[in-house]
Amino acid sequence: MMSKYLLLLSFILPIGVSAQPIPFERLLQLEEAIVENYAKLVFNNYEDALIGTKLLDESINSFLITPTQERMNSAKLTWSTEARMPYGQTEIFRFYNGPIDFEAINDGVTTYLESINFEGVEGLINAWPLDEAYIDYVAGDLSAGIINNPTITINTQIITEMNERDGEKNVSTGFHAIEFLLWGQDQSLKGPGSRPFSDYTTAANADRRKSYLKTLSSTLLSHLGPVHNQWKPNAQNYRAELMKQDSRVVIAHMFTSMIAMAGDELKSERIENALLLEDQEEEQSCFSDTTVNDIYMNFLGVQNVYLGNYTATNDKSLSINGLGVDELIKSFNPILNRNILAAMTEVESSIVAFYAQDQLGKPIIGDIKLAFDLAIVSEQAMVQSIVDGLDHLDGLLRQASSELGL
Amino acid sequence: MRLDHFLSLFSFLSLSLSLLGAQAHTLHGSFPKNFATLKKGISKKDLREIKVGYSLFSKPWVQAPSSTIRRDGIGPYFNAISCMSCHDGMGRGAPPGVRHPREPSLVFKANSKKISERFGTHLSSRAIPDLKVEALVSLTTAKLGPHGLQKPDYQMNGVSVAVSPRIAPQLAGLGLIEKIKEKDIIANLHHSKGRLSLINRRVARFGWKASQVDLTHQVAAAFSADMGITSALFPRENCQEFDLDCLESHSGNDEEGVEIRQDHLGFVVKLMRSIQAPKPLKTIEKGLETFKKVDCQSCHRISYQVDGETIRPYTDLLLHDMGDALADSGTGELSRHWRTPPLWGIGSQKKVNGHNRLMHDGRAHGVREAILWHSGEARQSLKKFLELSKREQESLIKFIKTR
Repeated sequence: MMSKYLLLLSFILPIGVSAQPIPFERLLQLEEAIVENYAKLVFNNYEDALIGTKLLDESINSFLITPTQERMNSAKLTWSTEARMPYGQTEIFRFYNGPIDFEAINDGVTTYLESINFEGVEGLINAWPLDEAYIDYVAGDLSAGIINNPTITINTQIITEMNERDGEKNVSTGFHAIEFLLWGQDQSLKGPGSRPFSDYTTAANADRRKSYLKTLSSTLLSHLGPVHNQWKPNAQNYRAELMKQDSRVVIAHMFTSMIAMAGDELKSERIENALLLEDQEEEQSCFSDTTVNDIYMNFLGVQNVYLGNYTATNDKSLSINGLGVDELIKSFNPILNRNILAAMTEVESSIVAFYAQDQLGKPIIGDIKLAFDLAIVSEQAMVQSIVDGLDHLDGLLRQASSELGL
Repeated sequence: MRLDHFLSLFSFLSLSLSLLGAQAHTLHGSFPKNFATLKKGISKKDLREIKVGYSLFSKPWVQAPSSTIRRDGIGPYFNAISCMSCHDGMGRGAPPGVRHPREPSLVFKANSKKISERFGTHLSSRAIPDLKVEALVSLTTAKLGPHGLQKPDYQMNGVSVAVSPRIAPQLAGLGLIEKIKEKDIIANLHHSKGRLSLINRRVARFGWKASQVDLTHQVAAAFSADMGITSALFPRENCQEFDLDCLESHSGNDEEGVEIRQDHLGFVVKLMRSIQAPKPLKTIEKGLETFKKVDCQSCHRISYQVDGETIRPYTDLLLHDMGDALADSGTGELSRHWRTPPLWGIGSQKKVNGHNRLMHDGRAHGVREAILWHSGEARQSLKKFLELSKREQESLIKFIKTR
């Protein structure tokens, strides 16, 4: 029924747009193919992120067995590349009450995830801001934190409970907690945090710090695993239930998440708020100064879902190049599709401007030339241009969703 | 297609619709279980600031000192680490045990000299790790109230204590309540024995006891009392003079010497002022007749004109003596008095907050119990309610349940 509505829409296009109305049957097939590809994309992205998180766990364990500067650097690099790059792209799978940020809704309808008492773990994996002084010493309070309080046993259960106790989200687990324990507080605009590796050898409570970091790493894996499982193909899980639904429901989810990410989460929450609050550490990855990567990966997530593409970081066989919602928009308003693609190019170029370039002038992804905290105070126009681009993209995506009748 | 699939499809579609409308602005993370829908016609500049306000409202505050200087300074004593912890989805809190065993959204004020001398005006259930938690108040419902209802009893170490419980109220629509003209509130004095709460010659209309004049004061008071976040209006941490650990704890002060800057507090206030009023689920004229017949509207005044539009909050914003059963324990002059709470939003409460608890401490399970708790100035209305036929009672309850 919904699809008929879409078909109807395709006949009332503005004059001058040369769209080919798609016959009803073909439209249904196209929608179903887009949805199939989306489910595959989600799974492949989580698979890639899980591989990266395992690599991070290995890298951290290797550092903890023999704490050296070299191994610490290697763990940091694994964090910011193999682990964070794919995970940042999965963030687009939030916002529609799917597995990652699932919350039960008391509305008399029992959804699949409710029926298996699934728990959304986004808050445990990636929440922000981190309660640093809850975990370890900070400038101004050298005895702060669980690490420096030997009366508290360190294990998964305890740090998870402390993280989300009675509905209160006290952020002390996940990627940013690991980041804090690897880099330490960022005290200058010249570079990231510079936690000495002796924090893991001779410093006070070094053993407890090791234990906390090791626990964080294994906890992160145990949180990501169940989300990944819900997207496995050919299993009894959320994905299977989702595929039984009208394809328009899934397409609505896709638009919900693209709009929420481009307009609210990335543009406002993660970038513009920092400008308004005038705080250079109002950034996701403030310890490692890798917020530019977060911004780029979050943007790529939007683009991945729109185009149906994914370029894997850890296992190239996970890359896909399939059907995205662009095919749908193209079929009834090709100009709008072109405008969306142009807006994406514009946002991308304003983000990659923060990266160093190779000899051919191509940006080197991950090689951050201008850190976000520095940009907040000294290059606000560059930050603003990302905001403006995302604002434009947000508007176009809203237009597309409304023209689709979502 | 199985029915439950159809239903969940429907609910997801309505979710998407509420998020995707090209014109409708929603806030980050807005689910259908959320009152946080913005009113129409908000400028881009305002929207930017509202989003910052929403971020400061919903994200947890952290201990000082921290890298995130705009978001640190929680405590030293506190009940919750974010506004959202208690005002979930901008909705209403619940007593302990309904959502969580240790519930942040029910807070306690001291109501006797003995308690306030020891703890100050507010009791806090949590503290930063260097300090000891002030007082853990536990809830039992052993006492019997009127009409066979269970009356909550609050104890500390097994002994009943004179504390005043206060549940986090629903926030949607407060911006419109702020805009109600003072003369309209004053005019309400003709319709009941209610009294006006005046502070510095302004009508105080916010809070369970009508103790704040505007949203800026209300928000700043909540930041201070419930989260230990200082501001220009409440610049001191909640430390007793003898509590040196508290006095010496780290503060998250910024360049203005407070933990939330005045302009940032303003962003949160702007958010409050920009949320739409809750919408009634449907109009049941029959129930409205009964509402008037029982004389509910003499205190729950139905409507006001605000900015040329009619709003229907169902409150006169006056203080009323509600009798002994509802009174705060203790002997304060206003212990029996409560400000008429707005009724709008009750219709969406179950969906947004997952429970039906009402009244200042969430003691009432649903609308019927809430009505039965009315006494004092409302005694006549209660009598009329009890004299109604079963069907009329049901239609009245249904009317209120859909506001």
